[in-house]
Amino acid sequence: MEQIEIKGLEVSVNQKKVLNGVDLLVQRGKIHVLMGPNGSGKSTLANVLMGNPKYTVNAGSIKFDGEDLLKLKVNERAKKGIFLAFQEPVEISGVNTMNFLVTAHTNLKGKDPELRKEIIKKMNELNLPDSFLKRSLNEGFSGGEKKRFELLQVMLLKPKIAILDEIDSGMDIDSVRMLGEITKKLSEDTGFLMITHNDHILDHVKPDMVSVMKDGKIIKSGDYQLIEQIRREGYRQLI
Amino acid sequence: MKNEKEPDWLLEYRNEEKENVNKLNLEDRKIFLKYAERENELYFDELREKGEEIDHLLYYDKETFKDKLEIKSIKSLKEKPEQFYKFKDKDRIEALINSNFEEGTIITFNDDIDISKPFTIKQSVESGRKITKIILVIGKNSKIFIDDEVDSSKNAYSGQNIYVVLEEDSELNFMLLDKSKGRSITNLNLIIKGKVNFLSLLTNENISRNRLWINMLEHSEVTIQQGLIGNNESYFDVESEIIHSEKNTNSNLNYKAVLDNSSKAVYKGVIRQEKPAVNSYAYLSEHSLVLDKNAKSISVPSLEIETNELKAYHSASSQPLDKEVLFYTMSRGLDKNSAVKMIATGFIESVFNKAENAAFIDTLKNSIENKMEYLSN
Amino acid sequence: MEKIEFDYSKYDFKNSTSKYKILFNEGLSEEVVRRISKLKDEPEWMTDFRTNAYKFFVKRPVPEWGADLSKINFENITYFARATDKKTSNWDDLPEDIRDTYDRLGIPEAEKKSLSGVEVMYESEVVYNSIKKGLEELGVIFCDTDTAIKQYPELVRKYFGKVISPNDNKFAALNSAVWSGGSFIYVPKGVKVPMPLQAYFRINAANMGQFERTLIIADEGADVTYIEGCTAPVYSKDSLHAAVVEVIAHKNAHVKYITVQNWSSDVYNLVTKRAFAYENAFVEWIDANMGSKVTEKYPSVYLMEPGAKSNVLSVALANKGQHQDTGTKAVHLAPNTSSVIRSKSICLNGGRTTYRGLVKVKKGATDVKSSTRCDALIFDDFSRTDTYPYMEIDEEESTISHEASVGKIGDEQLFYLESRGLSELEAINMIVLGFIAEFVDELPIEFAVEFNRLIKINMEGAVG
Repeated sequence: MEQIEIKGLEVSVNQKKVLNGVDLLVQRGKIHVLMGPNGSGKSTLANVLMGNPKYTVNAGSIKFDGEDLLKLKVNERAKKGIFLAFQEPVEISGVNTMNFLVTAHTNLKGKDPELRKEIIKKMNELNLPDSFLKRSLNEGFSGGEKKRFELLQVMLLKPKIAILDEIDSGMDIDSVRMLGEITKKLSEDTGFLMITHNDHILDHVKPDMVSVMKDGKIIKSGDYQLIEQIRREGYRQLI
Repeated sequence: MKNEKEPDWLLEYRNEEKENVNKLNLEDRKIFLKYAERENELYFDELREKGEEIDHLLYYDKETFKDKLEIKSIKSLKEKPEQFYKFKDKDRIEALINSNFEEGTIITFNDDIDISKPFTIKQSVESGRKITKIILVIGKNSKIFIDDEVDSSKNAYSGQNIYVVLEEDSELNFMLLDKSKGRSITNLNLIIKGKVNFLSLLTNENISRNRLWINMLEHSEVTIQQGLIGNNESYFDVESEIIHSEKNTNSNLNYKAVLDNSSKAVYKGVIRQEKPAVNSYAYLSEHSLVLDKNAKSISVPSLEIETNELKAYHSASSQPLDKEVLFYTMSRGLDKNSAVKMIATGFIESVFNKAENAAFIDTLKNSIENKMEYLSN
Repeated sequence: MEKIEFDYSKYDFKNSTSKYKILFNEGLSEEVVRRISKLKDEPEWMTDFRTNAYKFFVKRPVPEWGADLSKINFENITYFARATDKKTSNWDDLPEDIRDTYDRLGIPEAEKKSLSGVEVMYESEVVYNSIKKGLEELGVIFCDTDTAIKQYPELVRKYFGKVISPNDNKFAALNSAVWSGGSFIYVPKGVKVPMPLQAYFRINAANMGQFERTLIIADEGADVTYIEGCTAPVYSKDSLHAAVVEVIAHKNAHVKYITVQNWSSDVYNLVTKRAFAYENAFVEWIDANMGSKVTEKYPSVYLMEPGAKSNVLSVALANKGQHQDTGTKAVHLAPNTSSVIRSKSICLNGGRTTYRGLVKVKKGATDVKSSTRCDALIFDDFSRTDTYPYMEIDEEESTISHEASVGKIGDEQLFYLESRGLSELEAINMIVLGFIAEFVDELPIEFAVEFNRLIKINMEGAVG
C-alpha cells in the first residue's frame, strides 16, 4: 500500500530541537487527523515531509512506498505525489497565478489541453473568482481565499498524499463544510494528513486515524473515539 | 592649559594630518564631490596659537561620575593613544581638524556603569575659532548618556572631531545639538559593538558640515534620528554613513528636514553592507518639507550592498506643505504663520518619536520650538 | 547542476571579415575622423562637427565616478568597417553570411508579423532598411542617419546634436566624432505609427567600435514606438559601443523607446540617450541591459514644457564579470510635469549592478510629481548592488518620492514553488521573471517571449 511511514523522526531548526522522535503513518485513501496545541511541532512535521530546507533532520526516517523520502529534493517529492497545503502560502510578485498553475500541473501531471477549463470550473466550485488567475500568486488574496486556493491545487494536482497544514483556519463556516465534502470525495484516491487545532472540520470529516502531538512527540493515537475524548476532556487529560 | 610644549608624537601626528589635508579629497566618495561646492568656505589657514587657553568644554556631575570615568588631555600623553590608530581620516576636512585641534581630550568610561544623567560637552564659541578633538571610550556592559551642544556666534568658527569606541553589551545614548550662528563642522565617528541611540538636531544659521560615520561590528545596533531646520541663508552639508561590517547588525535611520527661505540642505545617507554582514537589516528614510520657493533640497539616500543575506530598504521624499492641512488649520482660527509653524514643528518632532530619555526629549522639543520662533515675527 | 535548455550559440557566431569592403586599422586620430567623413561624402558642417567633437574627446578625461573604464584602450579599437557596399530593402540582396546572421536572429520573420519597419546595422553601417507601404506616403521617415543627412539635410541639421551636445561627456564626444549609422525617424504631425519600428545592431569583428547615432523626431501629436536590439559574438578582446540617441517629442507627441541590450560579455557599452519632451508630450524609455562587460547608460528625459510626462522602466542583470551601471535622469524644467521611474536589478555570480539616478526640479517648475522605485535582487555574497538616487529640488511646489529595497529570493518562495514540482532553477526563473514582470508587460508580445528566453539564458549559473 502507498503510505508515508515516519519513524523516530528528530528535527531541529536554528539548533533548537522541535521534533523529538515522531512515529506516524499516512496511508493513501485514508484520512489521518493530527491535533495538538500550538507550538507542538505539527507544522514542522508538515514542512519536513515536504522537504523545507529550513529544518534539519537529525535522526529517524521517512519512507514513502518503501523509498527514502529524505533523500529526495522538494520537487522530486512533489513528483512522487506528495503535496503540502501551506499554512501561510507565500505571495510572489509578478508571478501570474494561471501561469503558475499551468507550470505546476505540467510538471506533475503532464500537459493537459483542457486544464484551463478545468481550473475555472474548480474555481467556481470553490467560490474563487476567476479574475484571480490574472493576479500575482497569492497577492491580494484574503486569508480564506489563500486557503481555498491551496485546496484548488489539491483538486487539480490530485496527489497521492496531501498534507493540509491548518487549511481550515481562516475559513468561514461554509468553506469548512465545503472543505469537508471535498476531502471526503478526494480521500477515495488520496491520503490526507490533516493538521488542525480547531475541531469544526471534524463535524464534516470522519477520520480513519487521529493522533495528538505535544512537545514534538505523538502522545496518543487512536480512531475517531479519541476526538470525542478530547472534546470532553481537553488535551490536558491526555498528558 | 597654559602653553605647555606638546609631545613629539603629537607634533609628528599633526604634520601627518597636514599632509592628509593635501592628499585627501573633499569627499571620500567621488560621487558626492559635485555637492562639495561650498566646502572651501570651511577652510582656515592662519592657525590659532596652539595650547592657548580655551573655554571650558566638559560639564558633568562630579559626584555621579566619581570613579566612573577618567579624563586625560591628549597633550599630556607620553605616547600616541591606541584609538588614534583605529580611525582613518575619510576626507580633507576631517584631517584639517585633526592637524589643528587646540584642545584634545580622551574620556574613558568604565565597564559596568549605568548612568542616566547626561555627560555634557558644550562647545560654544564667542569669537574667533575653536577646534576640538574628543575621544570617548565606553567600556563593557555600560549605559551612558552624552549630550553634545555646539553653539557659536555669527563670526565665530567651531570645529569638532569626536571619536567613539563602544565596547560590547554597552549602550550609548548620544544627542547632538548644533545651533551655531557661525560656521560649524562636526565629525562624529563611531566604532561600535553595542547599541547606539543617536539623536541630532541641526538648526545652524550659517554654513555647516555634519558627518556621522558608524562602523558596526558584530551584534551591534543603531537607531538614528536626525532633524534639521533651515531658514534664511543657512546651508547644510550632512552625511550619515552606516557601515555594516559584521554579521547580525541592525540599523535604522530616520531623517527629516524643514527648509524655509533661501536655506539649502544637501543630505547624503549611505548604508553600506559589507560581505561579512550577513543576517543584517538596514532601513533608511529621509523626508523633506520645503516651505519656500527659494529653499533647496538635495538628497542622495544610497545603498551599497555586498552580501545577499540581508534586507535593506530606503524611502525618501520631498514635499511642499499640504494645502489641505494648512486650510484646515487656518479654518480653526490660526493665522498662516502659526499654522505653518504648527505643521512644521509636528513634522520635525515626529522624527524623534523613538527617543526615550525624557531630558533629551525636552531639550529637543525646546530647541525646535525656539528655532521655529522665527515664524512668529 | 541542471542543464539550461538555452544557450548563447544563437548569438555567438562569427563571420569572417575577409570580404569587408573597408576595414580601418585600429586607432584614433583627427585623420581617422576626417576619413570617415570623407568616405561618407558629408557636407562641411558635419565634418566640422566631427573634428570639433574630437577635440572635446581628447580634452575630457575618462570618467571615474562609475564603473571601471580604465582598461579601455582607445588605440586598440577599429573605428570604421564597411561589410558591404550595398544597402538594400530586400533581404535576398544581402551577402549570404550577413543575411544568415539576421535569419538566425529571426528578424525577417518578425518583420512580416509585427513591425512597421526594420533597419539592421552591421558593424559601422546600416545594410538593410525597409518601411511598410503606406507609412511613407504619410510622410514618415525611417532610414539610417547617413542617408538622412543626404536626403533631409535641413531636418537633420535642425535637430542633430541639439539634445546632446558633442561636449556632453567623453563618450558623447567620441560618438560625435566618429559616428556612423543609426536610425533617423521623423513622424509628421498627427501621424500614429501602428506597429513598432525596429533596429537591430550587430557587432561582428573583434575590437570593433560601433558608434551609431539615432535621432527621433515626433512632431505634434505623433506617436511612435521604436525597438532596438543588440548582439555580438564573444571574443576575448574588448569591443566598444558608444551610441548617442536624441529624441524630440513635440507637443502632445508620444515616443516609446525600447532597448533590449544583449551585447556579449566583452563589450563596453557606454551610451548617451536623452529626450526633450515638450508640452503634454509623453516619452518612455523601456530599457533592459543584460549583456556587455560594462554598461554605463542613463536614458534621460528633459521635461521642457508644461504637461510633459516621462516613464522610465529599466531592468539590469549582471552575471559574472559584468557591471551594469544604469539609471535615469528626469529633469523637470516646467510646471505640471511628471516622471515615473522604476528600476529592477539582479546580480549573481559576482556581477555588479548600480542604480544611479537623478531627479531634478528646477526653480519655477511648480506642481511637479515624481516617483522612483528601485528594487534589487542579490543572489550571493560576491555580487554587489549599489543605489545612488540623487534628488535635487529647487522648487517648493513639488512632490518627490523615492523607494528602494534590496534582498535575495525568499527561501519560502522557493520552497513553495518546488513543492509544486518545479526544480530549483525553474523556481528561480519563475521568481525572477515575476520580479521583472512589469517590464515584460511593456513589451510587444512577440518580444516578450524572446525577452524571457534571454533572461533565462543570462541567469546561467544561478543554481550552483
